[in-house]
Amino acid sequence: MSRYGFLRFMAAVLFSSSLIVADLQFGVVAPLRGGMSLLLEPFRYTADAPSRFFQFVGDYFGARSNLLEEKKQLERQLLEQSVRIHSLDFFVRQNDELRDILALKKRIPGRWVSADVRQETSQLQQDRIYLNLGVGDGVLPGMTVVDDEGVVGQIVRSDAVSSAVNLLSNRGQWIATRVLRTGQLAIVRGAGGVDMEIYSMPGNSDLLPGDKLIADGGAFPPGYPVGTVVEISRGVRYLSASIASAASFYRRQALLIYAEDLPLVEEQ
Amino acid sequence: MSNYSSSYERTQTPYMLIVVTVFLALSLEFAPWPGWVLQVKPLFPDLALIYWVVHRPQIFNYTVAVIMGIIMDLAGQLPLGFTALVYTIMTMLSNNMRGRFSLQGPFAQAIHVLFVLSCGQAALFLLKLLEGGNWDTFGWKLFAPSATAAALWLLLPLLMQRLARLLTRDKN
Repeated sequence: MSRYGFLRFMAAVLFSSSLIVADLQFGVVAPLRGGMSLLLEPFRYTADAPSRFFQFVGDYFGARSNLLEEKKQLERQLLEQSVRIHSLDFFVRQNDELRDILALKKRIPGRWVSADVRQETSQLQQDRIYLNLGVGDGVLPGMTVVDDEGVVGQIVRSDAVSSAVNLLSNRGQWIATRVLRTGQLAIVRGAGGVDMEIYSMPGNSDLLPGDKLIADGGAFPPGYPVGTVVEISRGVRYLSASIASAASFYRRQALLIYAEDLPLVEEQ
Repeated sequence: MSNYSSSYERTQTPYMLIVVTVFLALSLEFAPWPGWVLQVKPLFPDLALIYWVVHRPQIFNYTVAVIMGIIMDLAGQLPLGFTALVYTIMTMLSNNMRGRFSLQGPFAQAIHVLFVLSCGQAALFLLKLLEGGNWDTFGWKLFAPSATAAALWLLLPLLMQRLARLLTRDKN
């Protein structure tokens, strides 16, 4: 060891020994320990990195699996709630219709029977709907079926527990109406789909688009709305007009059957 | 062939390599090891100290040794200066061995390292006795970390070369 090296060694020994004495005998460095311990933080942070990493990985996958499980539960709940809400919509709509029908019963005198519409796959092709009441319920062919907005059609066939209704749009269905504005008689027949038309009205008749047509009586409740004139085509002797129905043919779950008179009609 | 003629020794040893290895050694020392590992855990800072005193004495001198010792005292809740004094002694011993290291093989070097580390542990034990410790802690457990550190010395040149290449490549 060189002389210079020995001196440096002795200086280091003296310094270290002085620190020991200062710390053990006089406690002068104790207050400095707190501040000096900050020197250790980088080392401790690095030393703790592996355990922090594994902790993070554990937390991450644990939290992720928990979140996935919660997501599945929420999706199940959402599905259940959606089904309930759709059911609720159905009942709300049905309830509204029943309220309308009850109001209708009070508005027009006569014998009224409420009936539910049975969904039939062939109804669109035949312009016909089916009700859940039949002969056993007193429902007979010739009775009129209406909703809260207008005449729907006429019962053409009844069996024990159900009955078929020709919609006014059925090509075989006829109805006597009057123009509300003028009181003129107009025979309306079905034109297929949801359309109706005025058949054989004098060409010089006072008829305008927007005129409302009401039932003339007979089998149908007198004065009840049938439809509105949409378009008029005038010929030399006769005119024809397309009619928009007042009733909603295919959007109802419940309808009313009107039974004042019971003229039989031929099934088409 | 001596370890000192390795490729990174022939070139300039990157300062960053010294900083990184000392930082890693201290971090490994403070890492939360399991109980049974603690009994045989190599003395990483002591090993780094000896290595750099032998290989880069111009940089790794008594000042650095005292600073490292103070850091160890703070971490170990020891009276300030204990490990600083021990590291001073170990630095002196390593400096004296440095000339012989170039002529020795790895195993002989490891024996020398074991001696230096054991002296350091013995010195620390004596200092703790002065503070009020007892002889019960004296035994093989006192020197087991020195033995594992000496065994690690055999792998150290290889690790340092890899680390030096890594740092040099990053620098380039």
